[in-house]
Amino acid sequence: MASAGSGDEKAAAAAMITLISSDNEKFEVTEATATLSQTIRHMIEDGCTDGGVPLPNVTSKILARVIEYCKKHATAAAGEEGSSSSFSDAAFLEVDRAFLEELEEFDDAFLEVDRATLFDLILAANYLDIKGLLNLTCQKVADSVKGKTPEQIREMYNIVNDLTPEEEAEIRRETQWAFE
Amino acid sequence: MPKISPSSVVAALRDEIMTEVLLRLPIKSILRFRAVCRSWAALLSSEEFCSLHMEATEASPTPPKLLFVSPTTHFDSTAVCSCSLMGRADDLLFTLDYARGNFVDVTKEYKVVRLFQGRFHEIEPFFCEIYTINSDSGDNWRPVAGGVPFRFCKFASSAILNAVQNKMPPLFIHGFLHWLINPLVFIKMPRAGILSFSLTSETFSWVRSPPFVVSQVHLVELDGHLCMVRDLRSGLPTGGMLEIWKLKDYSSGDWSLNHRVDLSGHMPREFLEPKVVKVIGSFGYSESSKRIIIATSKHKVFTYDPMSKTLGTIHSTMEIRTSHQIEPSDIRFSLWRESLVPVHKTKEEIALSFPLAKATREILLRLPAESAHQFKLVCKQWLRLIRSESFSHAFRLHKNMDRRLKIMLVGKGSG
Repeated sequence: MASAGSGDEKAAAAAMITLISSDNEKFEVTEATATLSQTIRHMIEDGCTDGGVPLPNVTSKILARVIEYCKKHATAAAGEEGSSSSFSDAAFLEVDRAFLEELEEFDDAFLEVDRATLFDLILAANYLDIKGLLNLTCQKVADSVKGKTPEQIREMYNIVNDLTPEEEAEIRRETQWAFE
Repeated sequence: MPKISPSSVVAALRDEIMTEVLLRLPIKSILRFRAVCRSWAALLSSEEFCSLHMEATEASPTPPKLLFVSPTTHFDSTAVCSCSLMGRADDLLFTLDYARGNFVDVTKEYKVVRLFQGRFHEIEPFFCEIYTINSDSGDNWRPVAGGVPFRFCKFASSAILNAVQNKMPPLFIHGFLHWLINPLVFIKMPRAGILSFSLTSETFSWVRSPPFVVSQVHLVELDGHLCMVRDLRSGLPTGGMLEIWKLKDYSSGDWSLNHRVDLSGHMPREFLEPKVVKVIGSFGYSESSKRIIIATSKHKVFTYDPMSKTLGTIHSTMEIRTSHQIEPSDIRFSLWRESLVPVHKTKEEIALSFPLAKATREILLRLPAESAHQFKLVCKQWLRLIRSESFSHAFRLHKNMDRRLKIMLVGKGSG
């Protein structure tokens, strides 16, 4: 395998992978897109992607969104690699900046989903081991809860408060400034 | 379509994923959410979470925040304010009613180092001591093994003098603390420009001076490099600028001129009038978004874009709070990042941090007062535990919750 590695590189760039969702829908993606997922990358490395990759934990609705994210970010990653040689070029930096802004806008729009979808995306990102997507979605949830009080958190997540009043008072007293 | 009830979604998110979300919260929220329920309290107070949080912030550092230290209007206390560099509301962190500092720098490994001159009657001329935050050794300062070696004493003396006179704390970078050596106190110009102290090996060394007299300069970290900023505002022939020199290589001590910040072009009054103008750091990750932060002793903070060579202002309400005060001779701004590491642990907390000790405490709480009293003699740890104020408080509480009358019947056998 190691000896064939360099020769296969060009072919690999155009290779297509088939992903199969839990409801049996098939998605054709390039290897560059698919390998944003560490899980799939490992499967490709192990050579077990022939006949498609079944993803029993991901529905077609969520998988479609995940692929949308990976496509966008795979091109971004490719762009970055190519650019490193001419990094100091001011004109190029302008392009770079514009592209990063576009990517940020894409991410913002991508996160405009309801809470259930967002949670499903987190689960899929975790299962597929896509660092960027996991970070993006978890950060979104974190941002939405960071200003909340413990009472609001319990309500949002159906958590029963099993702390005794004394214990809760002690926690509040320890870092009082965090509750102000 | 199957309907997922909200609680089942949450249940699915509970485990490691919820941790992923919680890791991305600001410190204040994390501390607050310890009051949500028992499992969150345990998770968010655990050492594992703390170190995960440290790793996460190191992997993708949040932009630093600006810290402003100022005497309050009555001059009897010090206010510490923080504000986001992206410019939004600022936040009064706390006021210290009485603060005294040696030469202290909190570092990434959370060691605090103090370097100071001995008193006249002491044999050692200089002392270097370390306080390790949140360590098992408790509240003690411990002297550095080997002390300040004799060949570094002259440098240490000059470094301390310079730091005190110019109110310059040492700069921490790459695991080293750096003090500027003032060359003017030496008869012959020293080759050393900086005294450094490694926090890993806890030893001193020095860095070669850049190719100019190290006066009117300060140290700053820019982009992970040790930099020296030369204040040439009043100097001839260039005038009105700051030069930023970067240390290229520690071992050879090669310095290179990295930036020239021309201040005279824009807003000359803002920069020529203040006594002190300092570069305090930078933010932004890509070359194009990089900004250098410049603060003045008139409590103004500016950003400088090295690409376009333009200056911008960071507005903050701090200016109002201090507008009527006299100009100090130092900069009251610095950059900081949040951390979950507790600053102070008392001996009692350390003793209690082991699960066995916690269990012991619970058992001792359930003993009658007499036995608890006797068990003070078992060992040092038990003695400390039983004697502590919190134990006696908990003991009383515990007894009150379960207060039953104890009646002893004394019968007399008859017949």
